[in-house]
Amino acid sequence: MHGSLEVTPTVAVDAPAVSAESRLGEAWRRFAGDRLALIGLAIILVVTLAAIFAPLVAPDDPNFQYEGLRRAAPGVEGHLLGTDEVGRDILSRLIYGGRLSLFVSVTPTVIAAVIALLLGLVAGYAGGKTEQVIMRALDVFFAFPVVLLAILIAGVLGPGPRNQIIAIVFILVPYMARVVGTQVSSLRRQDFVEAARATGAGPVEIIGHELLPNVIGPLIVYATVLVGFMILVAAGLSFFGLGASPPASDWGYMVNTGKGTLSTSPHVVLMPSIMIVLVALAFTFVGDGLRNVLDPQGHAA
Amino acid sequence: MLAGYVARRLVGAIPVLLGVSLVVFLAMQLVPGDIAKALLGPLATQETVEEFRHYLGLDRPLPEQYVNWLWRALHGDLGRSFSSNMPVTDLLVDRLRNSAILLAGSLVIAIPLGIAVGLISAIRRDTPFDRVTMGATLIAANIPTFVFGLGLVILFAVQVKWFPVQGMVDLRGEGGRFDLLKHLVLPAVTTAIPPAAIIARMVRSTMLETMSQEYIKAARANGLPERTVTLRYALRNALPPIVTISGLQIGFLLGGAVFTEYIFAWPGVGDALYKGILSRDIAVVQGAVLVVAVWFVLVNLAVDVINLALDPRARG
Repeated sequence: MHGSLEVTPTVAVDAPAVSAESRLGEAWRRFAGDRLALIGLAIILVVTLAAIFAPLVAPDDPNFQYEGLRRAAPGVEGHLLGTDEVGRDILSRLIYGGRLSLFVSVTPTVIAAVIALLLGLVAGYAGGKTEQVIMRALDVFFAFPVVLLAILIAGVLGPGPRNQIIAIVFILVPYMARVVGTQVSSLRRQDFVEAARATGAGPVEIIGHELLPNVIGPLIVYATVLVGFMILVAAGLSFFGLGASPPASDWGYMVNTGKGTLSTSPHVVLMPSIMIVLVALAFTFVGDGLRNVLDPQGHAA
Repeated sequence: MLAGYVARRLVGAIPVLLGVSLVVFLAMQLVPGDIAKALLGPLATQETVEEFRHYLGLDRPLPEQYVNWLWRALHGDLGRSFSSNMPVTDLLVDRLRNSAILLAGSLVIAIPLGIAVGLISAIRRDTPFDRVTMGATLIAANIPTFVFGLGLVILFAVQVKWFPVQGMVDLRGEGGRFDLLKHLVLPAVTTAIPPAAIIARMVRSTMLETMSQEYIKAARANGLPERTVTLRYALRNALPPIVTISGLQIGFLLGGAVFTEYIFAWPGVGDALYKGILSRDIAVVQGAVLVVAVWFVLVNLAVDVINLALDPRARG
């Protein structure tokens, strides 16, 4: 829940005229050359697939409580990662919990990206007063520590995954819109946009054909990095009891319920904590890898 | 000249502060259902609810409610806590002081630690020290504050009992500064480490960028000792971005502190915020967020002024 929001991706605007296929192959080759990005991608794939196919993958019912097998240490027969404070299989809970944890981090980032794209395109394209008004209004949100704003919104709306998503959309839109807005604003004055305008292209055509393709790349990079950060924010909200409520659970909430038995069986807290950090890191790695693909000269990480 | 700039920046902060207050006020409109009804409970008659709405001013138009609320807030009246019936301002004053202690403790750790690690990594680029610390800072930057806090509790309060698990003072002890300090260590470290990691990474990249500049090469070519080049030339010029980054991290510190206060039962504003959310005590939530946001705006202002003192070119 820290500085990642300030990462502003840049992108090379004009790509050389080669076939789309070879460009994609080249991009993949460059991405695959980044070991951390590949590891990140693998982690994300495994966790996502496990979450989607949870009923097939999970060894156990995530809510079944084994009487007499509470807080069993990892490695106990039948429970690879042990059991929690009421005797539920931790591995199964992690797999099922991943459904919510990923859902409440990815969904709001996608929603926010769409809203930010609209706001940023309108602001950046229109320029002048419209841009001023939109950007000044967004500025106000930068005056809040992000996590605090998320807690405020989720707090007043009340607990639950839906409100958790709304809160995260709220904190993301200003940051993403600023990235899009700045990008569009600088593109607008460039020759190829002027040329399109000179040939009689209307605003819709210019935005759709000239501006959108050039902002979508940086936005995807930024969004990927942000998903990692939102894993942390969403986990924080759940930890605070503002997310999933029983019997549903996600990783943040697992940390919350496990902290009561912290001194005797730290593994109950440790396992979901590791998942949170691992998946957050994975998205950061993939985001950095994507950035290097899109902007090879830029920020060498 | 500096005074004039400070005055201009203060005036410039007014619209931001107004915007912040508007956001906090409007956020309260998101509370589902009728606050008056919720407060009075299901047995209240429609008549009582109407009366209470009138008493709270909820029957007025929204802009009028906002102006009234802002006017009272400016006079230090943040309303009454619904659950304890205490004035919110009274409730927050002590907590603000406690949060300030925590924040000060965290800053004293985060900023020097972050800058030192970043500097050493930049100077010893690509050595094992650099690789290990950069790996460690990457992980530290992705650890949620609450996970980090719980980890420290397991290690230093449960396994080896060096520090107390929670609280701000030992109720059975005689208190005093040393007692407070003992209670402060774990919460302060918890809040400080993630921002320190970010600061270290930024300082490293800023320093590397500065050290590749022509005038640094020139200074080296002139035979100046490496120490002088690094500390007097490179660091001096890298300082403004470093101050800006550190200032930004204070915002994340303030956010992280909410979790720290909860985990360590540190009686600060964040703890009040959490309890306010639990008991749906809207006035407390509103007051706590407003206070922290205003604090953050002022911190950013201070950062700008410090930068200005460091770099006269920025004075516009």
